[in-house]
Order: sequence, then C-alpha cells, then structure tokens
Amino acid sequence: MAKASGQATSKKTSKSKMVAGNELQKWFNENQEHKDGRAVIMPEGFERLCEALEFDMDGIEPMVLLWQLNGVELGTVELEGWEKGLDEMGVRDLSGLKMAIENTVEAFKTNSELFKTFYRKMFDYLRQDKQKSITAEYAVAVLPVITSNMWVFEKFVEFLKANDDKIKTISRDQWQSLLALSRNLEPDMSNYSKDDAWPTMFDDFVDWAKA
Amino acid sequence: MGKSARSKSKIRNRNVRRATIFGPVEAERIQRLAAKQQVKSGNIGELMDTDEPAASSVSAATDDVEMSAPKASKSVKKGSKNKPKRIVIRNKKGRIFEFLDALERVLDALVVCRESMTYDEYMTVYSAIHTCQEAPGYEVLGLVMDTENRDIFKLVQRSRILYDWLASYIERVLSDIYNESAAIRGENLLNYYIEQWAHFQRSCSLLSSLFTSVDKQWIEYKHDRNFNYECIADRMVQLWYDCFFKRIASRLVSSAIAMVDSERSSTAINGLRVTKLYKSFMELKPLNMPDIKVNYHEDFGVYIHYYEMPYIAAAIHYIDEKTYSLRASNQMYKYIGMVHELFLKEEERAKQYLCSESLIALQVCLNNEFLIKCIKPTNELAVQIADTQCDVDKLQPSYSLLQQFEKHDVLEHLQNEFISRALRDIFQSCPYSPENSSVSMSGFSLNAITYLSDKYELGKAAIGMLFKENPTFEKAFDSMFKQLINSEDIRCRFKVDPARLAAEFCNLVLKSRSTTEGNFTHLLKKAMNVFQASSSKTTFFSFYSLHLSRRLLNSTSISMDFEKTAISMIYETALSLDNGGDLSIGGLAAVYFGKYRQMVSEISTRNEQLHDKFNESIGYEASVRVLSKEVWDFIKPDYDQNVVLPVQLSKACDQLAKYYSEQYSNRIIRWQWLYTTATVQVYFPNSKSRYAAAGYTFVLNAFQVAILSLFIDSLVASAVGYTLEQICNETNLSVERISMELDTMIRAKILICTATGIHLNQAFSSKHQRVDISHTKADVKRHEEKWLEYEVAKVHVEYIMADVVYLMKSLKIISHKELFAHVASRRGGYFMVTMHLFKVAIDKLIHKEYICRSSDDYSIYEYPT
Repeated sequence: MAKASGQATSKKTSKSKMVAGNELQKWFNENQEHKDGRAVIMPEGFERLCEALEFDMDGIEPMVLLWQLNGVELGTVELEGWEKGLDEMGVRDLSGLKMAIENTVEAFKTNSELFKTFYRKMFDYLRQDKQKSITAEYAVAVLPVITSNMWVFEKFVEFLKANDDKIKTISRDQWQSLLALSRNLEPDMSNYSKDDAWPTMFDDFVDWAKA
Repeated sequence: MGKSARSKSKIRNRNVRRATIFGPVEAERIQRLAAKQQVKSGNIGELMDTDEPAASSVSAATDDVEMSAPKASKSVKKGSKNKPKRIVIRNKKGRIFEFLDALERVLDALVVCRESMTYDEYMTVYSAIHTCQEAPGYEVLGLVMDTENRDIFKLVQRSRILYDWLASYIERVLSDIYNESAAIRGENLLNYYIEQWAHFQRSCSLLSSLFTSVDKQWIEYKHDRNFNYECIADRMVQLWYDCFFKRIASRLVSSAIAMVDSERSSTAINGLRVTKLYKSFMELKPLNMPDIKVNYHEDFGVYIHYYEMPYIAAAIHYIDEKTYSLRASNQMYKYIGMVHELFLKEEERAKQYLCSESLIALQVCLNNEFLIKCIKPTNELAVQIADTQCDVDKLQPSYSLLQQFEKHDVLEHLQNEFISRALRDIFQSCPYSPENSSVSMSGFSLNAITYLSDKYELGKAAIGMLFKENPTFEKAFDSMFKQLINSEDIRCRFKVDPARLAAEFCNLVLKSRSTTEGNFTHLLKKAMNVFQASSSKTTFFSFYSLHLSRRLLNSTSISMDFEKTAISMIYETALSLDNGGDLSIGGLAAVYFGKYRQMVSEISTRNEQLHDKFNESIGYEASVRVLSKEVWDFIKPDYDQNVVLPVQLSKACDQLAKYYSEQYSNRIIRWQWLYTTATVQVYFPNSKSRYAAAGYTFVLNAFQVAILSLFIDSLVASAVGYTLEQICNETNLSVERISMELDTMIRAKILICTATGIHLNQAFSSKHQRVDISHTKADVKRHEEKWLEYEVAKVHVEYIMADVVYLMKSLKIISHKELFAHVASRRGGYFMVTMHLFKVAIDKLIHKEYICRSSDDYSIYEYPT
C-alpha cells in the first residue's frame, strides 16, 4: 500500500495499457534464466537491465528498481514479481520504467512512509541465506547509498567502521530502529536517553559520537 | 441540729427578709409587670384585692389554684361589664398570688438563684401553668379565652404570648446578672462563674419539667420563629447561654489563662477553679457548633477558636520564651531537652485544665510550633548518635515526640542525612577502589564491609533506642540502609557491587587463621548485614560459590564446620527476607544452599574405588575427586584440556577416565588442571645447599608439572634450553598460560632464562626443602572473576528475558518504561535490574522474535499473536 501510494504520478497509466508482448516483457523473455523451474532474471541480467535504463550501479535507483519489481533477493527478480511490479507501476517500456523509478526516488523526499517501506525491505535483500541479521560490512556499503545526506546514517556508518572488530552484524531491529533514530535525534544528540527504548547498540553509538 | 422550715424562728426570719430584702425587689418587679400590663402600680395587697375572686369560686385542677371564673354565662352577664378575671393561686398558708407573679417568683428562684424555693411553691406554679393556659374566661397576659368554647386559635395565641413573655423575662434577668459580674475580676470572676454554672446545671432540668405542659403549642411557635429548639425549656437554656455564658466567656478565659500563667511561674493557684471552668466550657458547647479541627492554627474550629486557642497560644508563648535563648545560640541538645521537658509539663497541665478532647489540639500545635522547626538539627544529632552511639538519652525525648506524628518529612530528613553522611564517611574510610588501585579486593572488602556493617549496627541500635516503641522508624532505617547499599554512588565509586564485597568478606573470614569460634559468627554477621540489604542477591551467591569452590579445591578453608555453619547462616538470613511468592528469595537461596551442601559433601567424601584404581594405574600415592559439573559451575571451565603431561600421569588419567565412563553410564571426566596439585621430588646435581642430597619437594600445579617434566626429561639430551615457542609446542599449552607459569618458576629460581633459552637451574638452592608454587595467580583469579561477572550478567539477562515473556503473554502490548518497571519490581529481590541489562534482554527477545516493536512507535512492545 505504501509502495503504491508513492507512485501517484506513475500510476496514472491505466492497467489496460499493460499488454503481453510489450517491450519489457520481451526484454524479460530474452534475459530470463531458469532456476528451480521458475523463470528469473539473475544478477547479471539485472545489471544489464540497469545499464539499459542508464542507472548507476552505485546509486539508489537499482535498489529501488529491485524493490519495485518485487525482487526475491539481491539482483534476482522472478517473472511473477516482474509482471506484478510493472503492472503496479503501469509501465510497458524501458523509458516508462526509468521515469517511474526516478519518480519514486523523488517521492522518497516527501513521503516518509514510502521510504520507510523501501528501507525496511532493503534489510531482506541484504540478508545472506535467510539469516536473521545482516553483516555490518553490507550495512556500511548500502546505507550511504540509500540514505544519502542523512547525517545520522553517515555517523552510524563511521561508527560501524570504527568498531568493525566488535560489531559484526546488524539485526533487523537495529536496522529498523536506526531509521526511527535518524528521525528523532537532535544534531547535538542531547535528546538521546539511555533509558529510552533504543537498542543497546545505539547507546554505544551515541557515546562514541559524543566522545 | 438545724431547725425545721416551720419553726417560728425560721418563719420570723423569713418574714423579716421578705420585708426588708425581697420585699422591695418584688415591689419593683410588680411595678415592671404592671407597666407592661398597663395597670396602675400598687402593692401586692392592692393587686390581690382587685383581682380576688368570689368566695364561691370554682376549684381548679388543684387545691392551690383558683380561678374567679363565672359559674355560668348568666353570671358573666351579671358581672361588672364582662370584665375578665385574673388567675390567682393560693399557697398553703392561704396567701393569694397572681399567676404571673407566682411564675416569676419561681423563675427567679430557678434562674437568679437569689431566693430559695420550696417544693410546694414549685408544684403550685407547675399546676398553675398547666391550668392557666386553657382556663376559659380568664385573662393571661391580656388574652381572654372564650367562656364556653375552647378556641384553638386563642389557645395558640395565648401560648405564644407566654413564650414571648418567658423569653423577654430570661433576657432581662440574665442581663442583670451579667451586669452584676462586670466589676468582678480574676479568681473571683471564676468563682462567680462557677457558681452560676452549677446553678445553671441544676436549674436546666427543673426548667425543662416546669414547662412541659406549655410545650403543646410549641411546634407552631417554633415553625413561625424558625427555631431549632424542641421545647420552650431548650429555648430558655439557649438564651441563658447567649445572654450570660457566651458574653462572659472571653473575660473568663483571660482570667483563667492569667492564673495558669501564674502557675507556670511557680505561683500557687486554685487549680480546681480553672479545671471546672474548662470542663464547663466543654459541656456548654452547643450542639450545632462544629467539631474541633486541629490541623493547624488557621484550621481551628469555632470552638477551639474561643476557648482552646488562647490557652494553646499562652503555652506556645511560654515555651518559646523559655527556649528562645538556647535556640538562638544553637545549643540544640539543650534546646531539644528543654522543649521536651516543657512539653511534658504542658501535657500534664493540659490534662488538668483542658478537656480531654482538646489535648490533641494542644499536642499538634506544640509539635508544629517547635518540633517541625527542629527536625533537621535533631536528625543531624541523631545521625551523629548513630555514628558514635553516645548521648542517646539526650536525644530520645525529642524523637519520642517526633514519632508521635510520623510525618513523612521526619523520615525523609533522617534518611537524607543518614545516607549523605554515610556516603561521605565511607568514601573517606575506603578511598580507593580495587578496580583502579593496588588495593586488593579482600583488603578492600574488609574495610568496606566492616564500615558498612558497623554503621548499620550502630544506627540500628541508636534508632532502636530512639524509637523503641515505633517500628515505622526501624523499618525506615532498614530501608535507608538498603538505599545506601544499593546506591548508584557506592557502585560508581567502588566499581564493585557491595554484594560481591560481602562474598569476598566471607571468603576472607573463612580463610583467615585469626578466625576463631568466638568471633566467627560475629564476623559473618557483618557480611550478612550487607547481604540482606543488597538487591544483588544472585551476585552474592555466585561469588560466594566461586570462593567456596576455591577454598574447597585448594584446601584453604579454616574448617569444614565453619563452612557448614556459614552456609546455614546465609540460608537462614535469606529465608528471613523471604516474602513468599513465586520469585521469593527463599526459593533462590534454597537452590544455592543445596549446591553449597553438595560441594562440601563431594569434597569431604572420597570414592574409594576410583581412588584405588587411580593409584594402581599411576604407581604412586595420588588422590582424585570427582565433582559434579552442575554443582561446581562457578569455576571457570579449563580450556587447557590437551596439556601434555608426563607419560605416566597422562596414562593414568586416561585409564581413570575410561574406567569412570564405563562405571557411570558414559559420564565424561573433564580434568580441572588448574586445581590439580602434585608433590614432586627433584634432585639438582649442582646444588650446594644442604638439601641437595635429599632433594627438594616442589608442590606444583599440573601445568608446572608439564613444564618441569619437559626439562627433566631432556636434561641429558638438551643443554641448549627451550624457547617459549618450543615449550608451547611440547606442552600443548597456550602462550598466556606458559608465560604465567614460566614467570612463577623463574621467580622461584627453578628455571633460569639465558641468551640461549630457558634452562633448569642445576644449582637450585632454597632455605626450605619444601617449595610450594602451586597457588593460583592473582591474574588468573582476576580473569576468573571477570568471567564470573560476565556469567552472572548473562544469568541476569536470562532471568529478565523469562520475565518479559511471562509478562508479555498476559499484557500483550506495553510501553518500554512500564515493562521495565514491572520487571524491576518482579526481580527486585534477586538482583538490581539495570536499564542496560533490560535493554540487552529486549534486544535478544526481539531478535528471537518473542516480542516485537510496534510499527508506529519504537518504544511500544507487542507480543506477536
């Protein structure tokens, strides 16, 4: 729901415009591979799609694209998710898809709920082998990409780098609470209290940042 | 012998008095009456003549009352212009009086108390009142009843006139009485009042009876006038109170207080007068007056305001004057003593002069006026006394007063003063924390526990003496001590939990050779004082377990009997704190009590079969004990299991392990090398000491044996020596362990370090033939203790996790702070639930998906359905 709500502009195209055999369907058919009997776009194919859409692989757009196409894991999209995603976005060609993704990235600035949904889903993409936590390494790599110009995330990434010997993983709770923290914390961190419900890692983070 | 009332002399004297004293008064009264009735004045005789009825008058209800009523309507017509007749009454002597005159005489006797009255006179008037009210054709106060028909309206009218007349009479007479008292002062005024009061009390009932018959029409009258009185007599009593007692009261109070003040200045007074006065005030209190309110000056009820307040104000003024100089010069001991002394005197005085209902008012006022002001200095003194236990007697009086009203601020002041002073002193007494100084933990625990326990004992004794009749203060002191022990200040400053210090202290006592049967219990009690106040019971139990394990394994305990006594004492202390419920301290203590007992039992008994088997395998005298892992779980697991031991020892160990496994359903033996000691006989060929020939006896731990055997085995082959790396490889021990043991052996000069490597000291010599270097190093101990701290924290987190799940199952949704409060109160007796531990537990539970955060608010936890 949140996903759809952020795409008011892109969703103006009606469902009826989506027809089998369009450019994107053709593209899927050409690039698909078969995994466990299911048609999927594998990471290489996804990278080709990003190239076709002229997205920088180090930017947020490929992540948003993966999310919009209901990717099952990092760089992997199944046919079902692909069709559903395109259907929801209401696009049928590459240029339309590019515009829809760019509009979504733009919508993040104003629609905090939309970004929250995207941010939370990112955790699932970063998990390895369905583990409950993600590695701090992944978090350090991805956080600056998806949360550019957000000082709390920048500081947190610095903290993770400085404590890479102690902090090896980030749990889902820590990941999700980080977004809430970024929205609550004053620049001087004066409003942070260890008695609040924040995960204990943030106590260390604030101590480190204040030191 | 007194003469009869009918004796001639009495009659004569009465007649004389009537003529000379009462006669003029009566004449005046008659004139007043006549003026009111608009008849010409005259003497009694004239009036009687005028109103005298016909000789054939009809007898009234009684023989004494006659009414000149017409026999029939005809005779009325015949009479002189239908003129109404007056009611007259005749006494036994035949004298005839007009009704109102007679009534006034009786009332005079009742109210004014100036004239005696006989029973006959009273009864005559009583009957007349009854008769006159309804007698037709006769005039009463200007109103004539119809001759034939009883007119109810007129009956009512006549009653009303009578009521009004009575009221005006009482007002007038009492005003006269009050005016009479104007010139009287001091004790005489009191005397006068008391006489009046006694008379009033007597007369009230008579008045009430006298007017019973006229109360028939009272309801109408009461309704019209909006009165609350049930009868005319009550109205008259109220008038009496208003016209006399109320008016005279303030003058009386001043006089009485002046007398009490004289008594305070040691002047003899007639206390009975004052007592009677205050008692009468209380009895006089009208029913509609509010109850006494005694909160403070401003809240006094009306009654207090008039009577008690001046008395209390005088008492306060007196005490203030007496104690001012002491308070001004800050001589608090003397001040408190004197205040107490004066309080007692005032209380005694008040019992005599005030009504019992007013004593509380006095007490509260004095407490408010004097004690509240000196709570702080009193508490300062109390804490000083708790420190030194001197002068309790001097302070006891003040506290005995303070505890009367158990105000929260008394306890609060005492608490703040005690805690701040105790903290200041303990930091002076124990300035260095073992965490950041060279002070040993045991030395520090000795100082700290001794200080804290002595503080408790002294304080408890002082408080016991000061507040012996009030358990509230004793409980409050226990609570203060708990606050002190669990205060963040102590934890931050010491960097050690006081519960752990208590366990260290126990360890010291149970290891010290200076502990005797005589002082053992006393010393252990000190640790128990801190233990029972500490909120970290699990910390105490854990560290006690560790030290007990060490003492038993290293045989450093002074006596097994002492160990058993200590265990029982801890258990009993814990049981005494038990508050029931599923998380009781008793339940926790029982678990540890069982463990401790089993530890002592396992270390005391030897499995003979195993012992023989081991000795048989090893070929020399050895002892082995099998200890249960679940009981001895507070000693750090030994990670150097694969140490390469001398072949014979290693082989014997393997054989024993195999044998044990076969005998006891595949149980596995895990060797605790750190606590293994061996006595080794070593000969040094180059040694020139006197023990060279006999050889030295070394007491070594298993690791040292492994290292030493390496050098002894290679003595012939290697003259080059070993490097650290080689020793590590050969013995299979960690570098840290090797470094530690090598350090000990080099210091003991068993090994020497040269440029080529580490060698056996061939020329070893020592003053003693027996050298024991097996003791566990301080570093190892510290490491082990750190491990235990971590383990204890882990256990605490597990407890919290269990509690959170338990609570969340029923609560479903709850805020972070509320959940913390629930858990903290639930686990309060076991250990102090810190926010950090709580958050760690929450992190784990969220990670394990037992609970989750609300998607809208990160500080709300939800229990997933």
